[in-house]
Amino acid sequence: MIRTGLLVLVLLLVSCKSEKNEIIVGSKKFTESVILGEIIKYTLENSGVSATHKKELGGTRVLFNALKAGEIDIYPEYSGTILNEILAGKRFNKFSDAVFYLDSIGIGIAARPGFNNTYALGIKKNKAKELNLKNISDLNQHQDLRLGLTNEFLDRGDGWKGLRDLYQLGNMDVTGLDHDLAYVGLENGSIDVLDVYSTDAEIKYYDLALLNDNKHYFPEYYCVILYNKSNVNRNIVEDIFQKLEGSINESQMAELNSMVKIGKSSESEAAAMFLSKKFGIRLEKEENNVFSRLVKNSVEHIILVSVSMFLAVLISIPLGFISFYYEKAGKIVLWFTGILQTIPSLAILVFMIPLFGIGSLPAIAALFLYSLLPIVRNTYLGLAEIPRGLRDSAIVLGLSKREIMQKIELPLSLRSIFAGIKTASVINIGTATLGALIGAGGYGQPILTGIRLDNTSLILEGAIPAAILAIFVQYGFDLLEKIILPRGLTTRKDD
Amino acid sequence: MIEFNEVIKKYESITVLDKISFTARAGESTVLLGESGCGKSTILKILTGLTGYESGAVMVEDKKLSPEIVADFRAKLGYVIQDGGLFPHLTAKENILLAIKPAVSQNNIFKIEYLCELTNFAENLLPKYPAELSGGQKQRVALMRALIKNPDYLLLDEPLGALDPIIRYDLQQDLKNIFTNLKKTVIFVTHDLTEAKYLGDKIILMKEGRVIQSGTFEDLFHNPADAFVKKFISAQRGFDD
Repeated sequence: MIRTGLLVLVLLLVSCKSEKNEIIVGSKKFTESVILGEIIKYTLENSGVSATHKKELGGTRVLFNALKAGEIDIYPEYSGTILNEILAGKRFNKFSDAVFYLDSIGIGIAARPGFNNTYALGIKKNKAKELNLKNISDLNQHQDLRLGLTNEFLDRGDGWKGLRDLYQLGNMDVTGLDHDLAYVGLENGSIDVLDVYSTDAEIKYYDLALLNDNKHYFPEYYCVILYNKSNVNRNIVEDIFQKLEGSINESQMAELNSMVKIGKSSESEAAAMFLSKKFGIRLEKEENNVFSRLVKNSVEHIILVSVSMFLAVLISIPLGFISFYYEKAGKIVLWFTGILQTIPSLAILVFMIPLFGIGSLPAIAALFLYSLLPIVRNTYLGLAEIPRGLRDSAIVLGLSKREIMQKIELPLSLRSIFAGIKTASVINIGTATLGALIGAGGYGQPILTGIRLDNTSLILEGAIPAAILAIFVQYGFDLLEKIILPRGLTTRKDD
Repeated sequence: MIEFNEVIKKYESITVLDKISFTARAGESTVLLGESGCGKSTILKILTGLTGYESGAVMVEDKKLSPEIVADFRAKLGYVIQDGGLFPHLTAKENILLAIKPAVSQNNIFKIEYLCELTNFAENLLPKYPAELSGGQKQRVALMRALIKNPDYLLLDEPLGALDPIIRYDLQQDLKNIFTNLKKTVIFVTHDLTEAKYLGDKIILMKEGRVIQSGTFEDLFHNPADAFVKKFISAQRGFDD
């Protein structure tokens, strides 16, 4: 059993590292990034380069570090994020300086699609036409218009205050309110102007015009596609991505976002629509029905759970024995595994990234650590519950320490050990859904997407199989317990 | 021969054996008699090497019992405790044969059929697990496990303590037969005077970690060393008469 397990592990590790000629595309945990990731992937595939897309990997830090470490090869980023977040410590004033610096650490820009996803002020198109509003400076003549701004925009250093001073809008009536409510207010006419991101899906839906920032107040958040130069051949990349250069403007991006968020299309459908409309690229319809997704997620999830559980069982049972035999070491082991259990599972996952990068490996490591305590503690308890007289009898019978362990203690504590393994697996199956956040896939993937798109059926596509798997595993262990447990521990004298 | 000479044993600050001295002669049955907590089980734990002692000397076959020789001595021991100490995950037969290494010559061990006859145990129960056996049957299995290697010494720690009176009576007779037939050096721990009288060639009466009196039952009955011996004997005899 140990040998097969190790084989599975080796195969898994190999599969994580192999196929290096395949380009790995990453994307952040929001719709626009995922659509761009799909566009990048299809563009590569259309040029005969095989690519996979690791969707929704999390935030800026995770993606940029993964790119630097070569765990992903390419992903869409924003110029403002690079200047103000990733390289904030460097205090570059111009983006060109940042590009120069990125180049020196091995990161290149494959393409600049052209759209600028920054703050903007929006107003109903007909209203803008009626008042002949084009630029933000035009608001100066219409200070009777009512502004509905998000609290974040009101508080930010580069938000409302600076904008008001620069464009001299001090007499305007401003209400702070939630973004979703602002759209409602706009519809019923209680406000006229709101702050938006320039590629928001709602822009098209609510038929908004964006006022031009003619004094260049807002920081620029131009989309740039970053790639790792040592993993991807520069010429190939530049050849392939040349066509994406300047190919998407704000309203086109907003339309793609709207297709997914409001029209309920998938990100791949939006990406495919864009490529066919823009470049006449016809994509073969990708197999992406519920069933094939389910199979893929199940395989990923089961690998996460079974490998981490196998390792946990392999390590925990000896640790349980050590804890029982050596009081001092035992206290430390039980204390340490106990501490591990108190760390929130999400935090453990994130702690594993610096050690193992992204993907299934850090998720397996985190799940492994998380599964230790129930098994170690139950092994310890199982041993402690063996009556004194039995151990004494074994010693006096002349059995060696090793024989006592193998023939007496292990079988007698098996029921308790089993209970520990069962508890650990059920926790493990649930926790593994968080693995999707760091690129491990599994049932967490549809849950994550479902939450982002507010799509209940997608959430259930992950949650239901995870629950079924947990029940199934529980049942399986009950069955296995009946087979493996010595008959003497399950039979009773029938009176 | 087993000899205890002024042995002192403490558990932390509590003295459980206070200068205990007695001799168990070869081929005889010596009964350690006393109320629970008087230290009689501790004597067996010292002999089996399960615990040590502070001072004095325990002599076994004229050698001092030390950690170095305890393994050799265990090989010559049969040990039975109150609830039998049978391993619940093994059948009766597996329990009996547990400590028999396949490599060891089979000449020195008793045949299992002979042991069944000796202990009045039905052979068809051998494949049963302890949970499927009655209290008396379990003690017979424990006894077979203790006897299988034909040991020189038999240490029995209240082996009949948890049994119903009728089953207990049967087993007392079987034990008596075994003691007579096999001529082992037996140390038998009990709190029951009748059992001590029936099974013991010699009785060591203990109280609070000390030997109060030793001798045959007749010695104790006719010449009680003190008021405690007299009281102990008359208190228990009341039920028999």
